[in-house]
Amino acid sequence: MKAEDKRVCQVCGTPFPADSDFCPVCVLRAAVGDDQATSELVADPTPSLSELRFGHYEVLAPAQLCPRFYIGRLLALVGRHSPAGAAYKGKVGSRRTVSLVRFYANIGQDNLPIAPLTEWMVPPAAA
Amino acid sequence: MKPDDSSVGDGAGRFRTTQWSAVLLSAQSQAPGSRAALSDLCKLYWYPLYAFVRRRGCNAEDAQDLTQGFFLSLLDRKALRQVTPLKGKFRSFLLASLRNYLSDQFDRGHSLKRGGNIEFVPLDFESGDERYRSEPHEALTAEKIFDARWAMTLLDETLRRLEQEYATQRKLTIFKTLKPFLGPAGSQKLLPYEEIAEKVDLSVGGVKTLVHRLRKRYTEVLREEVARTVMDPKEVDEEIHALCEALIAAQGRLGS
Repeated sequence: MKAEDKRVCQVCGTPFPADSDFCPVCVLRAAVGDDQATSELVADPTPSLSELRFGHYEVLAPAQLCPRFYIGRLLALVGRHSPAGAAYKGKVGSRRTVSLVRFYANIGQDNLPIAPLTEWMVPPAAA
Repeated sequence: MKPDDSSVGDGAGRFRTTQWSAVLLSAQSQAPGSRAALSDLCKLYWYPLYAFVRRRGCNAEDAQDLTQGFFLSLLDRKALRQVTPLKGKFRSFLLASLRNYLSDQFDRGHSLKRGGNIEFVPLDFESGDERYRSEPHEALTAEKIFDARWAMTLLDETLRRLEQEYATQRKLTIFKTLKPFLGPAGSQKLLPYEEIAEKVDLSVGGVKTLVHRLRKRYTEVLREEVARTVMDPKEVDEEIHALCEALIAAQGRLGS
């Protein structure tokens, strides 16, 4: 299979065949409840832009953040409307749920480098 | 030869709830129906076995004969009587049995032609070989490929069953429209609910409900499929985790 025949899942980071309707790893994980929090998000997979903004901040969807999420995969956006920012729950490996992440990005400044998530995240050990 | 299309109807339905443990116990007690039930499972999961044989260096023709020969030996109740009921998964049992079978066959100098081209279990070898040749195999062991293919077969079967259910309820359009929502949020671009609602003539709330039901049913069917291949229902989660790991190891190298 050629590289162009593959896609990378924006949630778990696993490559999968491009002709698949969805990531096989994620649906398997869903079947054992590993993605319980993510499932809640799926209830609204295409939020309008207004829902993703508050004040002068933009909240990025987990899919946009996942590639930068250094310790594991994002499980849920748990504080979308928090005035402090957006809070996320993440997971290390296949078992351990870790800290919330607060993330900020200015609207209208797309060329601004996004701060690495490591700066915004409580270290796993302190979670 | 094409797979037995009737297997998606009543024929397969008879054994849909049959679990590996039931097949095994039935075979060991020589109850009628065990051979058919095992054949049903084999028909579903033949491709990972065929590809495993090809990976061992056999050409397509030999691999076809060996796979059919293996099924013949497997359907012989003697083989099943030797299995300890406590030996977990159908997947592991098949792979171990196939390894032994191949070893025996190679020891006998490939005396596998006894059956010629007779097919004991109807399998679609033509498309199987085409599929096999399209898949890269570098840096993956035959066992890892086997497990990943098993996982993909399981997911294909889950989706096929779900599609059939929706078709029976005359909701095929809804199924095809909502199928991408089976994946997690953000894994790909999805149509907005508003657009889908318009397409299927429902409210946005109604569409969300349908997505929820589809996802829930998918999980149920998937777990049922896994349950058919393990000895104890308690092993379902463990098996799913193992299949996840196999897919991650394969890194999307296999076709769906």
